[in-house]
Amino acid sequence: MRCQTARKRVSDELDGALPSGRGVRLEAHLRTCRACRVYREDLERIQAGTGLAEAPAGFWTAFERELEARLSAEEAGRKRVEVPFAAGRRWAWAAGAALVLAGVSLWLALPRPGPAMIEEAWVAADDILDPIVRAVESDPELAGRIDRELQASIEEMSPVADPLFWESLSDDELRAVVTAMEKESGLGGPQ
Amino acid sequence: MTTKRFVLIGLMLSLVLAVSSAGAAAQAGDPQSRARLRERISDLYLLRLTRALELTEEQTAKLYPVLTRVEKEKAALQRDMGLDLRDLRAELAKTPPGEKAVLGLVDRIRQARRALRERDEEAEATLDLVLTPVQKGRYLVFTVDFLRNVGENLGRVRRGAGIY
Amino acid sequence: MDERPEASLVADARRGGREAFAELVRRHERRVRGIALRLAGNAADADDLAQEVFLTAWKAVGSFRSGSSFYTWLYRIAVNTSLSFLKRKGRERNRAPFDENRNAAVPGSDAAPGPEDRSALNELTARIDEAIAALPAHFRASFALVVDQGLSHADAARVLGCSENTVSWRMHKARKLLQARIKPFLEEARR
Repeated sequence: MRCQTARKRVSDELDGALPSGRGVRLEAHLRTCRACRVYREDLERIQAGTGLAEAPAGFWTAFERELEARLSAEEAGRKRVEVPFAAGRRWAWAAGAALVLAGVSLWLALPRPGPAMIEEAWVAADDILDPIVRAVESDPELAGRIDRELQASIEEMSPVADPLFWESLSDDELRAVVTAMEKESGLGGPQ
Repeated sequence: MTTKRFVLIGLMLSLVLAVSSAGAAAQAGDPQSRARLRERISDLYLLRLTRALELTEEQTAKLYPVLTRVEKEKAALQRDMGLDLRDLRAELAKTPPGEKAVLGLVDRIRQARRALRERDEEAEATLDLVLTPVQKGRYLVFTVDFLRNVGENLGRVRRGAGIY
Repeated sequence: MDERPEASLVADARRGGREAFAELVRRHERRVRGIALRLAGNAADADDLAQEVFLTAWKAVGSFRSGSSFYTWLYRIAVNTSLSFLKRKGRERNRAPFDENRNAAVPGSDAAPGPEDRSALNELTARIDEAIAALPAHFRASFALVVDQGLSHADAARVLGCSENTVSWRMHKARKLLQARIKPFLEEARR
């Protein structure tokens, strides 16, 4: 066994990643090669001397407190989905179910696009996109042209491509846009 | 200042100002609160991106750290660029404008633009590595839709405030 | 202390359950900070990064599919957040290339800093830490997962998104570089 191979196997052995059969051959090499024996000793000493400093006393309590405060600030942006039929909510659900039943006939009477149709449209878009993406990927010139067209259409269509767009908004406008977008995303309102 | 220099500065300025917002300068508020609002926009972008592209958890673990950092850096660059542009307008309004000050500000704004482009390229490169071909197509559509949605919401906000 | 199985905590956290997420934080905070500490190289940055990792996990937990390994996903975020941080700091660009011919300062020489009453063991530990900190980031990431956190090559590969063979080779190369760098200290200790 060459020393290069032996040293690689010493590393694997330290990580418990050396298949058992190879260990026998490694030991045979180490019995005859002082340099590799010293190398293994060195790696074992390095491994033994490796360690991370413990955090000081009280650190983790403070860490969790700070994280909790930051998560609270995120709370308005998170949708809290209540677990259906959880204890204490059954009566509320029963009342809600009655209302839903009353509204079903009205719903059926008024045809309108529902979530299912939107999902079907999304699946249809997948069917359309896939061959287009494949064609584009196989033709670098076409890919480049499409990239440029898309870039131009993005810049033309929206002032948001302006790097200073966000800076041009007042604090109130920014807050109002955020609120509106959070509501559209199905998230909670402002704090 | 020679005529040639005036022309040169004018050309540089027109390049810079052409891509800067012509709208009213943002009101100076609490910078921390504003930074938090920018973070919320970034979070919304990521949330919608995740939904639109149906990102897997492996993809989010790779993308979120990079995209979050890039957006944070861009927000800081854009804030500084906005302040430099405000200073540039003020300098140009002087009679005469200080040539050294103008050139310095133009240089900073151009560097900021370059830095913003680099970050956009970094984000695009990461997305390119992580997304499947279909997701790449969805990403292009998503980007357009997101930007349009922001514009529409802003339009509604301004109409509501009687600005339009 | 919440003793629920992890899958149950994750499912709850996905629905917006902050208490469940807080328990997940308690279970993994030390390891996440450990990864950040090894990659960032200092406690202050590691503390910020650990906070950032959990905030990212909170935002992204909706994408987490039950049945996958939560800790693999969380550690992946930890590694990517830390590597992204290093890129931001430009440390990798500005870092001098790891020169295995450049030895760490020999103990007792003028170039060796540190308090005079530092024991030989502490000195070696400090030098090992310095040497690990000077490793290229991807080697350091493998080292952090395998040696500090005790992950197998297979698990580390899942976190890093590479092959088990790649992790094995990175560990071997990392150790080779460390041994070369710390050789004078190891030889001194042998005398």
